[in-house]
Amino acid sequence: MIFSRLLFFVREALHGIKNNIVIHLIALGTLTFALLTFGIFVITVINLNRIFDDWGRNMQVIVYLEGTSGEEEAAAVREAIAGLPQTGTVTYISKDEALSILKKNLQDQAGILDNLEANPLPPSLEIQLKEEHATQQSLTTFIRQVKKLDSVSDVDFGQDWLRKFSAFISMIKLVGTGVGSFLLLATIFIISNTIKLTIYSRREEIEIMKLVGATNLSIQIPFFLEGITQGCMASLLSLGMLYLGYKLLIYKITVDYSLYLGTVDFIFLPQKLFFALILLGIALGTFGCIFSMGRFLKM
Amino acid sequence: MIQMFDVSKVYPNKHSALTAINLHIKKGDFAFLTGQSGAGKTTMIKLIFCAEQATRGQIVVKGINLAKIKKSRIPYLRRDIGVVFQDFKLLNSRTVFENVVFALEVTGARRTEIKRKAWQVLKLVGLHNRLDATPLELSGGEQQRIAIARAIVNDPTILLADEPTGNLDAEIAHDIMELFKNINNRGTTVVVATHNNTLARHYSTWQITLDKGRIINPEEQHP
Repeated sequence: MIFSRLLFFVREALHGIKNNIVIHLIALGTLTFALLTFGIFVITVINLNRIFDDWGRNMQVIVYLEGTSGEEEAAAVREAIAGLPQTGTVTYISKDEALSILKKNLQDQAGILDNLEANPLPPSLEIQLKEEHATQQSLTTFIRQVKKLDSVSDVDFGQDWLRKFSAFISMIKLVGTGVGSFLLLATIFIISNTIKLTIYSRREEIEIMKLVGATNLSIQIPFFLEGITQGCMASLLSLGMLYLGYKLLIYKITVDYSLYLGTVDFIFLPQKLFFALILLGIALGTFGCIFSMGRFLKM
Repeated sequence: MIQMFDVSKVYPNKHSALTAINLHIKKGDFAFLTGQSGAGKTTMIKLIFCAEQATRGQIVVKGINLAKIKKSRIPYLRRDIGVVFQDFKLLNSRTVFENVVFALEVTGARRTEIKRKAWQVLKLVGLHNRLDATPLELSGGEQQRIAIARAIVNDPTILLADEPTGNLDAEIAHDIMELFKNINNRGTTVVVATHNNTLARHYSTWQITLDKGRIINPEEQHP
């Protein structure tokens, strides 16, 4: 009994898809487009964050000590910094070493330093952060702790650049959220209307089902199954297109921009989001379908 | 089987379709609802199978007061009321057989029972050799026979027909009426709404005539 009911619902769903193939294709296209847009947005944000983290990972923090600091003070600061959980390696650069590095960097123009009465450069510590702590949040905490130490006069970690890049990422997220929300609303509107069109084209079928004594539930189940099938297909299609586009773009980026991007390890959708996109497709296909049916079930 | 007590129906556009109808159709009756277009025949049919609700009065079908029936129970009542329309209301993308079994499948009947019953009713209406044809490949008379087969496949105790011969020529109309008579002889209460007085007079044992929503021959209550 249950099996024959189930078979009837599946057969009805397949019949519905076959007999309304054009409308189903329109709905499928709309749903695929919606999920694709959402997927592009998610992948872009995820990978921009990874680029940001990667750049942070390679970032060196230079702690300048007060000019009067001697070996002892430097050792104390070095010890304090080495004790921080974020610290990877610490290299001490004395005043003399700093001057010789500067001379080396100036090359032909190193002569301008010859007239100096005293070495104006402060001793410093060059710090490489541990990989797991190379995030913006961790970096901020680290800088705050270091600045509190005695004998530390300044900390350089490319603040201006970091601030600008951080603002850029925030802007991308804000614009992305705005555009994403607008697209999501527009897509829900389109999907809802496409489904209404599907149901409207089948109002006679629903009317006949009601006439012969079908309960609302047995009318809804085949539409529900159609919605699930449509959602599943749209998810898989959009994921396939997304993966193909991702592969092509990553190939292009790594060939053309490897110099700037360094060792960034781009990723496709993480597993959780991958399945979330499939579920989103199924949910959009199914609930859109059920909500749009209400009017016709009142007949 | 069907009782109406002071039933009136006014549509939302204020059109009064039926006024103060009192009626009692008994089990096994073969009744005709006659009258001009707009007299209220279709509204009366719709009230019986719960496609519309009465604005006033009480309707009792098979002992169930339709004013108090729960919405969730309506499908189960409809399984015991077959309905046939002038425009057939068939699924044109499905075969003759599929159109008939559809009415059984939605009720959750067993597959073997579905096949047996569908075959029986299609034999009764004379379409057992056109199982795989689609409605549009058949004549109007044959399409109406599919609709009748679908309406009786659940063994309903009541069969309602709204202008079932409106789209058919005279000869085919008589065939369809013979079919209704045959179904009535098997114990089913049959109510046919038609504006064709000649046909009604020829077949009816009881004729209820409506004019502007009122029964104009109340004295002819039951044969």
